[in-house]
Amino acid sequence: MSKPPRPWARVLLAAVLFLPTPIVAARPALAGFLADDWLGVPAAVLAIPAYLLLFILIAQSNSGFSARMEG
Amino acid sequence: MSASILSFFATIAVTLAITVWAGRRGQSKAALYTAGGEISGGQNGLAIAGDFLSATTLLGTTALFYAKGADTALYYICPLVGFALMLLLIAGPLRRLGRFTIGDVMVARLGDERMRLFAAASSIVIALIYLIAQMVGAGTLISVLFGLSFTAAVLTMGGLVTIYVAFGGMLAATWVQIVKAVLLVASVAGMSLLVLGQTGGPAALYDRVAGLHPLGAHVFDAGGFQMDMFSALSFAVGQSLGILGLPHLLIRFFTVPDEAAARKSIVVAVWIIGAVFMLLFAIVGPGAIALVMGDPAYQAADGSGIIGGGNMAVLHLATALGGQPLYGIMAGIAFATILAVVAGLTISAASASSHDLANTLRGQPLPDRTEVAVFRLATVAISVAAMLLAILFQHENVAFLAALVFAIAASTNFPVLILALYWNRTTAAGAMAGGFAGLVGSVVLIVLGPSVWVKILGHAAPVFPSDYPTLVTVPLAFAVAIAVSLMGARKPLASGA
Repeated sequence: MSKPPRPWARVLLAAVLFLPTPIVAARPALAGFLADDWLGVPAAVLAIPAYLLLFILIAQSNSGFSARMEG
Repeated sequence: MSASILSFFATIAVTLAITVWAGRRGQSKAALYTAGGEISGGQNGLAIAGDFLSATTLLGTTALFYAKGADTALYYICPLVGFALMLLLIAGPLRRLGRFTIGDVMVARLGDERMRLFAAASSIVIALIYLIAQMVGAGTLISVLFGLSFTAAVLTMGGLVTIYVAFGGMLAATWVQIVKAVLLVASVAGMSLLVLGQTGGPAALYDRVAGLHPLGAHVFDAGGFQMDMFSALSFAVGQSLGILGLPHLLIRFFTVPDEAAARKSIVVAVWIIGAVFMLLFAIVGPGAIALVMGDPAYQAADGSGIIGGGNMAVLHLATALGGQPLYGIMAGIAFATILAVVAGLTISAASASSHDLANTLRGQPLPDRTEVAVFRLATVAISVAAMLLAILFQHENVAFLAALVFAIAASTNFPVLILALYWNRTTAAGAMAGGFAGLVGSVVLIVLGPSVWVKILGHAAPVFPSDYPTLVTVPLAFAVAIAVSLMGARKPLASGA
């Protein structure tokens, strides 16, 4: 019987994906592109909702992972 | 009768009707604490969204976008990270191990009844501080919206919530939160469509925003909050991990029948909260700038900003989009939003008082009828304390309290729950020492930080350089808990996570 998966790799993944948010806020030069024109609108209004969607999908996938982890 | 007064009385009538219905469904301990564990995953997801999406979310973050621009995204992204981690680490085990309160879970894992005292203390402290912050902000808002005095607004809010919780318990609070969540989603979606219709589409909307805002096109760029790296990281960590320690969210997992429903409830909540955040960031926030910032009808004559303060940006936007009828509807939804969150906080503190505190102090379980009476008494006591403190602090700047709530939640309940669930060598003494270190550390560092030490106490420079201590206090809590556990006698844990 295989050992149930542990969650720490996913916690690390979430942390790594999440880190750009505060770093960009503290170092706005890194995010100069957010005010650029993408498809006729500022990049931020596409990039930030896309980033939110990413974490929604991580939460969605965590549901199945969590169920397997807990047997 | 104006639209806002009509919506005020409609909100009161609907929420009281829900309370009467819920009260008739059952008055047992299980009914009052957890709605008998019969809430479905989908319903609980809506209720979690209703519990979490506070007036701060709807009004406060839009006001922040209006003033500071895209950095407001921090307030949207961090909670979703927190909910993703909550689903992964806490939701299932919490439902499996707990019945009524977080204290049940800690005792089940650490096998020491004294953990109830710790769980009750942290739940009551977090809920009470959060209640003061909510009530001071909401009292001001309600007085502006409905023409009441601050004291009358706070007494109305506190009185209504006492009735919901004491007589309708968790079932009433749940359905107030569900109704509020549905109304909030519908109103934010409706306003988004109206903004796009009135401004001529996304491209025209954002051009108008860049033309009107003092930051120009940089309103969409990062940097508006002007945070240093430590503060930005600490703020973000606190906003994310704090979600995993907020008792009024955690006790919602005891209202569903099983772990699968607990997991489903977070997935539903995350989709709802995420959708609301996307619309607020991409359309409603920019819409407030496009339609309110340039219109002198919404600007104070003394040049101090918009009439009624920054939190009124969404409500002025509603007026710009749909006149007094839409303003009235949004005012009613804002009122329902406040009531739903205050109800959730009150129930978490009252159940911790009656189930954990009273039983532990007595040394043996109270009879169910007595515990229900204590729950009602605690509801009244907590509401009265919150109302009095809100009235006392009405002229104070309480903005630091919101940061304090998240710092305490992230530095007390979060480390204790994670260690209790996932590290088998955790002892009750270690958990309590770690949680206490996190609590004291959070309070001390916030008092020594710029918002309290300089702005309120009048010192020249802060002792601690940031308003956000979580980056220090969370590791501190973990380190103390682990060190004390390792020093103590090793004892097998009661049940697996």
